[in-house]
Amino acid sequence: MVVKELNAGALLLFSLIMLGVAFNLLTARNYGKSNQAVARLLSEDRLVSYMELSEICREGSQAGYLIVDLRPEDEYRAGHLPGAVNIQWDQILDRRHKKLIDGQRPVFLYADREHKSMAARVLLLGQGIEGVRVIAGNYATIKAWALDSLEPSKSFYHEDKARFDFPRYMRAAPAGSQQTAPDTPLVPGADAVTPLPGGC
Amino acid sequence: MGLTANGILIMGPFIPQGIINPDLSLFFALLLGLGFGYVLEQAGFSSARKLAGVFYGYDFVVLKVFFTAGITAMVGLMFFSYLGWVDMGLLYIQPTFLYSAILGGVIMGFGFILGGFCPGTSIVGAVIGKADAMVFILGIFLGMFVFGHFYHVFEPVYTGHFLGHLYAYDALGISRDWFGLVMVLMAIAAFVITQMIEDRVNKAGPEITGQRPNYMVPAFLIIAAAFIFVLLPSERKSHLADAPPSILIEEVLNKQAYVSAQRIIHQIRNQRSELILIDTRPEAEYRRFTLPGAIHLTVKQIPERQWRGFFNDNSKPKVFFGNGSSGAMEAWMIARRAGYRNVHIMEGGLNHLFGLLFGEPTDSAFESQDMVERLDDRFLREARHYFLEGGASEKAAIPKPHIRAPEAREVIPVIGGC
Repeated sequence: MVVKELNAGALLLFSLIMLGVAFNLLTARNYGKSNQAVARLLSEDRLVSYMELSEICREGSQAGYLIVDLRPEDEYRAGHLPGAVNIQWDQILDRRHKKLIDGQRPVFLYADREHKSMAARVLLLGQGIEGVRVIAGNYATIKAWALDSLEPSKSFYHEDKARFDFPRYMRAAPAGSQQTAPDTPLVPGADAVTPLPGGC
Repeated sequence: MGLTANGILIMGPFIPQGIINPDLSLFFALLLGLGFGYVLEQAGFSSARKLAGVFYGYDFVVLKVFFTAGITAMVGLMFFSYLGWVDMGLLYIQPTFLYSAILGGVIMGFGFILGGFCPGTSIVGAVIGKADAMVFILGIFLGMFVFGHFYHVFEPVYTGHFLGHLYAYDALGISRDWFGLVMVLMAIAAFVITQMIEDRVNKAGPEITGQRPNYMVPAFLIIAAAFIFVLLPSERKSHLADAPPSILIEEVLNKQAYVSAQRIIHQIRNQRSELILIDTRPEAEYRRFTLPGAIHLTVKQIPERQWRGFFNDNSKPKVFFGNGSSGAMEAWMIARRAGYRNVHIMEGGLNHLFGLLFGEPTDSAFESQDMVERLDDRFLREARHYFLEGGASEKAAIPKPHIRAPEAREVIPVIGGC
């Protein structure tokens, strides 16, 4: 009698676990690639330099690439890169664009801000679409420095390049200003702040 | 087998994830304690003979009950973690102090065999009126008093050889799922072996062993369940915790993802530490220059397990920044997708921040009729002055949050010197 109940209970729990596992396997996944895999792929081959872009435009070989304009439609209408198609930034993962971004052709992205095209690249990578690169800068800089005239100094332009010599603008602290540092940890549960070694 | 240890173990994910109000935690502790005591009494553990039986070999029920409870809870936790309902990173794990663990284990073992109780069962025994259990509790309090009074004597041993939050599977270098399967197999082997010892000590004849119920089905099922978790692909596990792309897109569109450069300047100017700044630039650039109080994390490090505790602590917003916004955007995308809520991007990055401060000063704003514009301009002028005077230097004001990454025991390098 006891054994029967035990067996029934064990079976019930086991089938619940199996149901949960099956549910988890069958439900639609948000992402095709794990976060770790995307993070590893991010730094690889992410930018298209103006040098490369202008060469492609000069040869007229844009057909081998899918150049995607991520800006709103009216801005796209007002002017865009030759051969670019318009997919608005927030619709980059829409089902109707799946056929276009199929991984057959290398994809070049650009937008009105570089970090938006970067974000679109991360989203596409999350879906398992590789071979997506971002044209450095935004539409204005691309047009000015890659299409209209290629300047050598701008051919490897990138928004994430430091434009200031930052330390110059943050002078060393006057003596005594270190005392303002509180000695309590900022993250709950962390060790107390280690005193800074050295100093002038 | 402590009441409180179990209590914390269960409450661990509920309170940090905001499912249970921390104010109610004592109420749930009471419920759990009642249940635990009831089960102990029902299993017969209020009798000193049961516990002593493990040592003399005539009754292994204590071992069986606790091992069964352990592996059942373990498989359940693996299941919940697989579904993404429980974040294993939030479970409270007692840190390992090697000397006190060994010494405590020996003392506990002697206490078992001499007293016939463990702390939990002694209370159960005392409640149903057993005199020996009451004496045992008296001993517990006496021991606590002696320990507390002479703590300075015990301290080197008590805190000796600290190993941090150590996991057996990490120490062995195997995955958590394989370790789970090994634990289940060990438990079932232990049940079989202890049963054999029990039969020999009790000289149980076939008239008893023949009557014994057959536990093949549950044993098989729990092995199968543990084995299934080993087989399941690790990338699929707990993906339900992931934030879907639609949320990411929405938060960028409605600007929820951004923190303005002015707010960062304000924090530096007023020596606050309301935001945790995370530098996503390459390490060399970080070493050369960073904002006061900023820590360094690369995009690859963000999804790693040891940073989960750091990101899941929602008390302070965490702001990614780079020279521009591109690197910070990538970092934000990875962190936000992992389900971390309180993460942001510094709009425009350092270039924008320094451009605001040291770009061409606009006289038009100074004479502007618009109050907001004028105040904004005054704020920036003052901040510029502050930066140039050295008030915002790295060494001044805001200390770096000293963050402990438990598994890797990585320490964020603190940059000092001239």
